Amino acid sequence: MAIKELKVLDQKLYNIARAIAEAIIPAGGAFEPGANEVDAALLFDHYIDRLSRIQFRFIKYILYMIQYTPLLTKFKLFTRMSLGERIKYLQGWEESRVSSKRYIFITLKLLIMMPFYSDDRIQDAIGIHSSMGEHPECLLKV
Amino acid sequence: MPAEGINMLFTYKDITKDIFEQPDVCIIGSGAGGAVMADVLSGAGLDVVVLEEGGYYTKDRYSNYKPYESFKILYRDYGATLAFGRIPIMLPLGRAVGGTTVINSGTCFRTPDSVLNDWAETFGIIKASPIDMEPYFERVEKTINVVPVDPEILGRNGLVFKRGADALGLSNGMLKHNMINCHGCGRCVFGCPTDAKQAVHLNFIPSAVKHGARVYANARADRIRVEGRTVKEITGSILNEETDNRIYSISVKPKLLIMSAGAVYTPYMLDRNNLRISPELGRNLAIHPAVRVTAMFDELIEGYKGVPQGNYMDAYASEGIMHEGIFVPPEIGLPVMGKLGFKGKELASNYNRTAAFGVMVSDKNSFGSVRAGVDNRPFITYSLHPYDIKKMIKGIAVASEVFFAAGAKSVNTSVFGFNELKTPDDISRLFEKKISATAFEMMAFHPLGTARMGEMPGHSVVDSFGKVHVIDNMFISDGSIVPTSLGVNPQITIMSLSMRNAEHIAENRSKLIK
Ligand SMILES: Cc1cc2nc3c(=O)[nH]c(=O)nc-3n(C[C@H](O)[C@H](O)[C@H](O)COP(=O)(O)OP(=O)(O)OC[C@H]3O[C@@H](n4cnc5c(N)ncnc54)[C@H](O)[C@@H]3O)c2cc1C
Ligand code: SF4
Repeated sequence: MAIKELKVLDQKLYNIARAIAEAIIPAGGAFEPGANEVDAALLFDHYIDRLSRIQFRFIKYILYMIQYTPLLTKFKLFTRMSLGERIKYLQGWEESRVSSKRYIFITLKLLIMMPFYSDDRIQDAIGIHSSMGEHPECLLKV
Repeated sequence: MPAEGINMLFTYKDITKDIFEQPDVCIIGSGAGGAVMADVLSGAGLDVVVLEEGGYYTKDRYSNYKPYESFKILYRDYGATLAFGRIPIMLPLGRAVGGTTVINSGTCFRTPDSVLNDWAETFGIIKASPIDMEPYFERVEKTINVVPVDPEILGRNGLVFKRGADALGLSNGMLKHNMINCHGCGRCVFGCPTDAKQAVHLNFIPSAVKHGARVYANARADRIRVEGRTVKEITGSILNEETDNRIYSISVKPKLLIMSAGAVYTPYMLDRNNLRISPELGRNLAIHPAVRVTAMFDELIEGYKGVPQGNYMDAYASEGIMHEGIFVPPEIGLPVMGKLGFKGKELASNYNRTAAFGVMVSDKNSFGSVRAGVDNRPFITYSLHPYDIKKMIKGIAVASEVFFAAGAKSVNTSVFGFNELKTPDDISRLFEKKISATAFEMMAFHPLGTARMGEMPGHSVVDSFGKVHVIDNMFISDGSIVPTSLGVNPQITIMSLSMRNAEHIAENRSKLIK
């Protein structure tokens, strides 16, 4: 990833976002492409370019939390964990009994998954075309 | 050059220098409340200026965006304005010429008679009885073309819910919407790509402009200068739409100010300007908390085809529980419904067989507030009362029963710990132990009440016609004056009150506009 393509993340944050995106949407399973096939971390970077300074700081803080907290329990950075370990680790956020942790994770999931599932290649893969611009699918053709 | 076809609607592109205006009336905000005010007052011959922070968008501009990109363009804070309490509740707000009506679902309900009668009794509000309001409802509905949704464009998501409700004998029907030639593309909350939804930027705003009102898009009001009991000046910024940076200043010295920035931004702005016009300002926030219930079917649903909020079930409306259709495309639905990893991908590939319906409760007991916070943003709090939680659980249980009666294989409640109900027998689990507010994933779409009407100054912020009790030339006309939760979607209430209040101002202009 050439750094100049990134709008708001630096290379380090991009790498963390990429590792998170891959765990949220891994390749294979019910349909083939995963986050890295469409570079969901780059789409995420482009999507969040209009967050306010405080909101962006909050996103940065979440990314760093996810990157560094495994050091305490797994003695590894998030980006150094295997895909399986990363999925399991993030499931801990998704299913946490602490509601604020769940909410923070939903926010991140939204910002990563929205651009991913809007990508035409992914909509092809899941057989849904919900965002076709001027003439989206409809019941009565105009 | 002003926006094409509309001579006096200016966007940041038309503005090349600082602006000074001295109109009769300045209106801050061009949504449901502000647009109607602008039309009626300019139609009555008053010189009107409208300041709107958001941009001017019509189908030609936003139909080329993907739905999720609308959050960036037509919503405030990417649609993630939050109310904080035991759980954060997402409270999306529109930011555009036309306000939240540009991105709302288009559902139209008149204010229930019982609510209007209650306002008279509890707050002493005059001339807002069901009979008084009738002509305003009629005129508003005519202007924005309120019609029942044609069942042909309801889509299968609405139809399966109807099937279940009918099987259980629960009262339900088609909603009324403000639309012309809707073709059921399912994108109402991202901006209607064909202008079928009659948001106020397509009717009241152009009519106001025709009457001579000057509407400034990308114009944010920042400061309100008040001396004694009189508003003297509003100053603000013309914003570059791409960056939100200030490019010019705007100063308006009106004879009368109307705040129509919505139930969140009106109290926020007044607080930020240290205008503590009442101890009730910013309090009494009602939001109609809502949750979704989703269900998996064997049959093809394709819920993103059809009017997303086309039908309702009002069997429990008397208990303050309304069920209304909701459906969003997969890119929005999957992140909130789905799991991460391979399970999430499985759900994505089954999205075509997923149905969803919304549960909304009338929040008479919960309590919220708005005040100025950090980062030039409002700080919103909201705490859900245990009684309203009970209503929410009941609403979820009923929606689950309806889905099972319609043939669902399983139901997802979005309540932590009760996510998947596999059989109708599982529904009773929802009542077995106390569910706390923190278990819900909640959203809300109808902020109301933060500058409520009433005839007792200590108990309300504005009088029965929206005039601020303690300022001689300031009115409020938006969701914030609606004194209580309505139990139904509020745009018709807000527009009709605004029309009534605007007529009151026009009739009393010699006293109010000096
Ligand atoms: C997703 C969604 C779906 C909804 N669906 C429905 C529905 O189906 N039916 C229904 O009845 N209601 C619905 N609503 C609610 C309804 O649209 C709102 O209640 C209504 O539009 C509120 O009107 P208002 O005048 O109070 O504020 P708004 O319509 O929000 O208008 C306020 C305007 O003020 C502007 N503003 C704020 N601060 C400033 C400032 N400092 N300077 C200049 N401008 C400023 C804002 O940008 C905004 O455009 C929905 C809401 C949402 C979010
Ligand atoms: S369903 Fe589509 S055409 Fe109909 S009002 Fe909504 S966005 Fe417009």
